[in-house]
Amino acid sequence: MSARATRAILCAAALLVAGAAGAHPMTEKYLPVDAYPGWDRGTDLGTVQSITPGGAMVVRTDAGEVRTQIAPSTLIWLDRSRSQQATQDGRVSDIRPGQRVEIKRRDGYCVWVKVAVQP
Amino acid sequence: MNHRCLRVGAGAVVVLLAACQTAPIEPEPGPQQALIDRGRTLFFEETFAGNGRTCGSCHPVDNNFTIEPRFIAGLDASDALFVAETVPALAEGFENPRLMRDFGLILENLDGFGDLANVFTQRGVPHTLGMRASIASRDGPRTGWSGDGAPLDGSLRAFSVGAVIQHFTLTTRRIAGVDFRLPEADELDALEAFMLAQGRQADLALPLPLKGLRAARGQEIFNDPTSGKCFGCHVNAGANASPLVFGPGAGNLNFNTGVEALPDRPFDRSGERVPADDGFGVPGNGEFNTPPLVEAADTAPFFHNNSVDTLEGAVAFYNGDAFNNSPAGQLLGGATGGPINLDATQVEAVAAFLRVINALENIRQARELLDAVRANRRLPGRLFDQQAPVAVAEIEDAIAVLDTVALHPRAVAALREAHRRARSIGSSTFSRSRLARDALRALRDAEGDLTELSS
Repeated sequence: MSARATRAILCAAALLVAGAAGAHPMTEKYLPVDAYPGWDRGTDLGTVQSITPGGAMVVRTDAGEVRTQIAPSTLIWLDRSRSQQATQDGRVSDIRPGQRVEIKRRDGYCVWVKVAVQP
Repeated sequence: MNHRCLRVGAGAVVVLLAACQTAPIEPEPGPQQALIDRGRTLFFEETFAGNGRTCGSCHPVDNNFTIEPRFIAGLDASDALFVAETVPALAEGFENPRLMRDFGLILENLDGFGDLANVFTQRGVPHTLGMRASIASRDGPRTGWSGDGAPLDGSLRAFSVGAVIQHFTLTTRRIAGVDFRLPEADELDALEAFMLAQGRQADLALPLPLKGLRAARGQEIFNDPTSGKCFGCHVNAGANASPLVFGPGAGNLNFNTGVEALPDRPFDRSGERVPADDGFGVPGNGEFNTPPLVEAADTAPFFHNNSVDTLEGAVAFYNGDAFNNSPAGQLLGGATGGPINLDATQVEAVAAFLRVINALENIRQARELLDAVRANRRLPGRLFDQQAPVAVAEIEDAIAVLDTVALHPRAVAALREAHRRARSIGSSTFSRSRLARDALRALRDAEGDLTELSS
């Protein structure tokens, strides 16, 4: 096989094996709401305007209203850093209108929601 | 005048002359230089109100920004690296002291901090040299052993945020503002500027006009698409994929090369728990990030879990079942008509090539530092008094990577001469420039034995 042919085959095949780039999500839980606003371009910061028991949530941000859906796979974190407590996992029922939240969305669904819990 | 008066008088003259030495010339003033300098201070001194560790605890400047068992063994018991042994709140679920001391492995909770007793990995410490040329890809930056080491936007700028949460915390509760303080945005800018300023600022342009027969043959094998095939993932012996293979701008990529499948790893019989490392993502897909090779020879051990101790062993890895049965190995074998199958002489030739380019990089860095010493100048991101000792360390590395396998004995002799001169700089008051000049001349001789000099 010629070097050129080898390269051509490798080129096509390599695209299949090379993985995507990405940020690591697991430290996100330990970052308070508002810690690094706007760093992750897929996130929004705002105040919960409304939320249904089924997880349909409206968040008011500086850029306007964001409508999103909390899915069963959505990670909900209760940021208690203001009272110097560790972040806890939460549920949809822990989210209430008026709370400051940070959300990461993908395809209309929330990947995670971080809720600032007041002391 | 009696002898005592003479001695006192002579001493006074020396003190006066020393005081008259001109202060070092500072780097050109500018926002970038100031940022790099601030980054240096943060990198080596800032604990972020945590357990006492700094970035430099695991990335010391005098050990190529990495640590391994030999370096760790020389540290004082009170070093902040050992907080798991000295701080009761970090005794469980934070670090495994034996794996750290014996194998240079650091505990990482890449799949989250929810189950510290069971969900963790043990990884070596990657050096942070040459990052300017090593972390960009067309899909975004890749940091850390699996390319996803940074939170937020995945950038090197954000990397320090994750490092503080993982490694600097006072307790395993990891509460921001209690167990550590998070870096401010301007601190992250400075840390990023400092890290990017370390080591090579660009990839090499292979082939180099190498003089050594073994290294020159190794370079041919490295770049041969039918034998070594190394260039595909390490174009120009860096961390970037070949544009010929992966398309323009592919940059730094991730692959599953089967390192996790290696048998008889050094830590396997330690009795300590080392869970399987699933690499990139949560859950992981088994992929790890391609590291640069120019700096490989003096930053052993190799791979994400320090499973191979020697450079020759690391090259030979690509001959073995672990690689050839891996997704990357299978693909490479299928696309090129067979697995990588280098004989022992070829393995040693490729390793000789990597040793020589590492030594050339050591010499480049030592020359840069000694040139600054000669001109009484401080480089950005360096302490003036640290420049000669770091140059000495670079020369020692060059000697070690060549002399270990008896490569280029004439270059090694010249390097020893450069080392002797450079080491004397620290104890000299009036001959620093001359000693630096002499060391530079010897380094030039060494370089000339390794490669055709450009001018």
